[in-house]
Amino acid sequence: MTISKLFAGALASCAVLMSVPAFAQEAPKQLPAATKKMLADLKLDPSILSGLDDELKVPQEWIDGARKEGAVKVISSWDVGQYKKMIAPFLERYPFIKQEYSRGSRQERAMKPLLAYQSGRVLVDLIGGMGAAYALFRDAGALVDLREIPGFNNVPVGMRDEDGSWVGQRLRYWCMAYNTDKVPKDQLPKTWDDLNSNPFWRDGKLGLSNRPNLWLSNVWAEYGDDWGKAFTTKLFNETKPQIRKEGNNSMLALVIAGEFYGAIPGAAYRTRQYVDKGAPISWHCPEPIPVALSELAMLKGSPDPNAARLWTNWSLSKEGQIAQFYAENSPPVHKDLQLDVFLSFRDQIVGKKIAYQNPVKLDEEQQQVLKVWNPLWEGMGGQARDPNDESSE
Amino acid sequence: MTATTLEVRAPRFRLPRIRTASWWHVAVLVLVILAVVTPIAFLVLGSFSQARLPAEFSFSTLGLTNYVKVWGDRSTYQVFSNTVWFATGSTALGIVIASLLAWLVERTNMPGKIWIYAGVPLTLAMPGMLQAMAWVLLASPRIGFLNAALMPMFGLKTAPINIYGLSGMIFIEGLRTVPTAFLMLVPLMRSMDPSLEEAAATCGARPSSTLRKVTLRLMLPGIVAVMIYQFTAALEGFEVPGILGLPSGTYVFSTKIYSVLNAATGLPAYGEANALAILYLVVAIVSTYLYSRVIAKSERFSIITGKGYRPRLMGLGGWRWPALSMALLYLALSVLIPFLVLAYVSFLPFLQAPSLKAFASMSWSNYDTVFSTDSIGTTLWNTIVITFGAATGTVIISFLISLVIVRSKFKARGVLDQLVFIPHSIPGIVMGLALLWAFLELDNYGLGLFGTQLSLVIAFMIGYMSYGTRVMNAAIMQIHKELEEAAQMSGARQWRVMWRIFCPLLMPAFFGVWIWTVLHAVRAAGKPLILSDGTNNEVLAVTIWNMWDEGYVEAVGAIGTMMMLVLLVLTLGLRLFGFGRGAKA
Repeated sequence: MTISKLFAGALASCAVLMSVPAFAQEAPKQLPAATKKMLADLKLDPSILSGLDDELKVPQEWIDGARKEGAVKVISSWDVGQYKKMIAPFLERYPFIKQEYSRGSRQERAMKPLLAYQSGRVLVDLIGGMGAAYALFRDAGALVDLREIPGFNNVPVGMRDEDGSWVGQRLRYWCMAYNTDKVPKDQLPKTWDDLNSNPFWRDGKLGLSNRPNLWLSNVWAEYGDDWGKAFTTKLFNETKPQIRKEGNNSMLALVIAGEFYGAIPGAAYRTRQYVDKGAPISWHCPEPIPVALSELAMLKGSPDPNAARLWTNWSLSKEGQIAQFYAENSPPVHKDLQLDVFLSFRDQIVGKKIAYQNPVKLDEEQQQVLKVWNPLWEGMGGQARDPNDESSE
Repeated sequence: MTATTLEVRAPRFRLPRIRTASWWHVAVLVLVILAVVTPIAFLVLGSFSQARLPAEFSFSTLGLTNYVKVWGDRSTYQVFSNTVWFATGSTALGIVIASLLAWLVERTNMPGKIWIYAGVPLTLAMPGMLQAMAWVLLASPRIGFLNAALMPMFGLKTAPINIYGLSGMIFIEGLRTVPTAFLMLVPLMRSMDPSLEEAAATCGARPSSTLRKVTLRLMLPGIVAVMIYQFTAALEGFEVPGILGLPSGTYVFSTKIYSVLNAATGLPAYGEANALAILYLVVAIVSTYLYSRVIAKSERFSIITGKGYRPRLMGLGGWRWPALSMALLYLALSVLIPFLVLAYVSFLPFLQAPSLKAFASMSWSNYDTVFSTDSIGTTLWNTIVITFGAATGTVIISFLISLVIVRSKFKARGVLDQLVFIPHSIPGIVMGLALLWAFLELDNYGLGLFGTQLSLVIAFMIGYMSYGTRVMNAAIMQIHKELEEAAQMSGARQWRVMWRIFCPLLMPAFFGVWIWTVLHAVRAAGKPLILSDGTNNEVLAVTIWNMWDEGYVEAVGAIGTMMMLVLLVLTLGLRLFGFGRGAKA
């Protein structure tokens, strides 16, 4: 079963997008200074961390082991600055664990550790965002069962692997980023079809990256095959977007610079980071809104298994999840933190329908989308997308 | 009384040449064979592998599928064509500019020559990757600062300049080839006997006719040799086609291989990458062979005689200042403008065209971020360790190899000389791929090389030892054997001869090769992109590449600006200790 299949629909089972509720349990009495600052900056009451002390309880031998190991090696897709900001509370709790973090493209964070693993070497402890390489890791028997980690249960069923080989770590709302200097608000598409019917977006004003699995598959599944085929064909043949090889983050920088006026898909959390810097960019989404999940896994034979366990458990705790939002605006996966306060561009999300993929029909739908998408993409000079690839970043 | 036999012994001193086939001669040969042949063997084997990943390689999965797929794909022929056009175009452009500059500074009365002598070699300090990035910011169709200024100025609906694609790649790579070609052509111009030109003038030939029919023809063999050398270097080019070609889907071999390994979608196709690399390798080896043939035959066209002379300077008349302006324009396009552009964006919170608003928003925050980011420190440390390690290793191994080639009677020294030159013809990305296979396979025996600093040190050493041995060969040949013999007759041991005679005399060559290697290793992205693995051995070039790819243009500006300043100092060092001397006024 694929990652997307497993997590799909999970949000529906959570108390999605509620306002901050009153928590029954008491707030933790002692919090790291970094956590206090984080809560103050986010204007959150410490009671939101109720139950944190229990969440962070782990076997003493893990702590003793981590103390001996002295480091944890993580590779994922956070910016290094964001990682540093995110990890501050963890470092106060576990100052003896040195952070060896590197940011890598999907190939770097997944393929190279896998190649090394297959040659008998384990270079990292934890990998975030394996994407399509997950199946290779699974086939190689390279992943640790994370179910032993208490925090695993903080994540709703469906956002974690039944067998514990991965766990969801953050949510991604994928839609459209646009340049606020170039795009009048009345030109923003109210429906997905508006993208094709509005001449404003034609002839290269829209930038498209080769990631239909992040948005089109979701919307396609919602509206059906006829709509999907017609929409995609019109998108390429009439709207004629710029097809771009850049990564999704780079696409946002190009939107800001005016290379194109809008980019699809654009992640809400990344767009928010640029908005906070004062860049002329914002995020908009017609209904329904596509949602994806980013996952975390731990390698068997990792050099620092106890430190990795502590790291994972903390990351899945309320404190870790809020720290992640604080650092890079990612909505948490923690079952008690599905709150609208953790949404970037909540005005664009709250009240709108969320597009999940149908877990039963996912593979079939993905193939259906690519059957139409790939020839059109290649027709404009791009490289076809691998039908088995469900990577998000 | 007993007779005393007086034993007269011949004075003991060693042979001037090192004894035939010492153990270390064999060791050097074996080391070079391992370094050169092993990766190529894995590259070839990998090209037939149908396993998903290198670690799953087995002889039972060999087949021709990769070749069928690569050769059956029409786009491969387009890549071949692009590669040839790219290498030819950039070589032609670079040679034309370099020849003109060399001619202006050597054979004319252009003013301000000293600035051109000093400035052109300093352009080596500008990494191609940063140069290309700066030109994207200047001349990409929509966001390029130049286009943004020109379009409203002239009421244009489309951008007048497009740096993406083959023409942009040729332009930037052409600029990049100039300094090396210039350094190679200046001595040619300087050492040419002017009597032939004077004879032509005496016979009534006009200056332009003399230039065309005498000067250029005399220089032709030299220029052809430089052209083939530059063509081979351009074939290897990865950074410029990567930055300017990939966004527009214009692939050359190096970027195609990279794309196959780093597809935005799907898994890397290692076998196909190897099959492509083999084709690329053949093209590169043929070019190198042609180069060596031209060099071998060039002696027939000797134009330096034993007669003393001083080349006559051609008067440019009213063209003196325009000529200087043209030379300065090259420096501006090549270094000054790219540096200013990167420095400009390094102070911005986000990318924007120059304006009052943009200048008002400037801050040091990108520099603060760079300095406060721990992983940048790790990357910098990796870069220092790897480049310094590779440079030191290259100097040592090149010296030992050259010692065997030049000073020994070792029977296989000819083979050694040829073997050590092979990596010169192997493009960096291909060598990276070959070593990836080799390291992964060797790691199965517990070597633990992949993803380490040592893996990149080895990769760079293999790549640069060709150059190192060329320099060392020449330097050792210049040390007369009498010096060794004198020391040995005085009772000095072999190591002492090395330490007290060779090392001091070869110190300029050591420094030159060392700095040259650092300069090249620090900006090379091809091998590190394939062999690096996170914090373990990621170097600055990879960080810059990834940050650019992910849209962190401002941070790239900050790192790039600092990197260029450091490289400028190193290039000055190269000029002081190394091989820019020939170009000094």
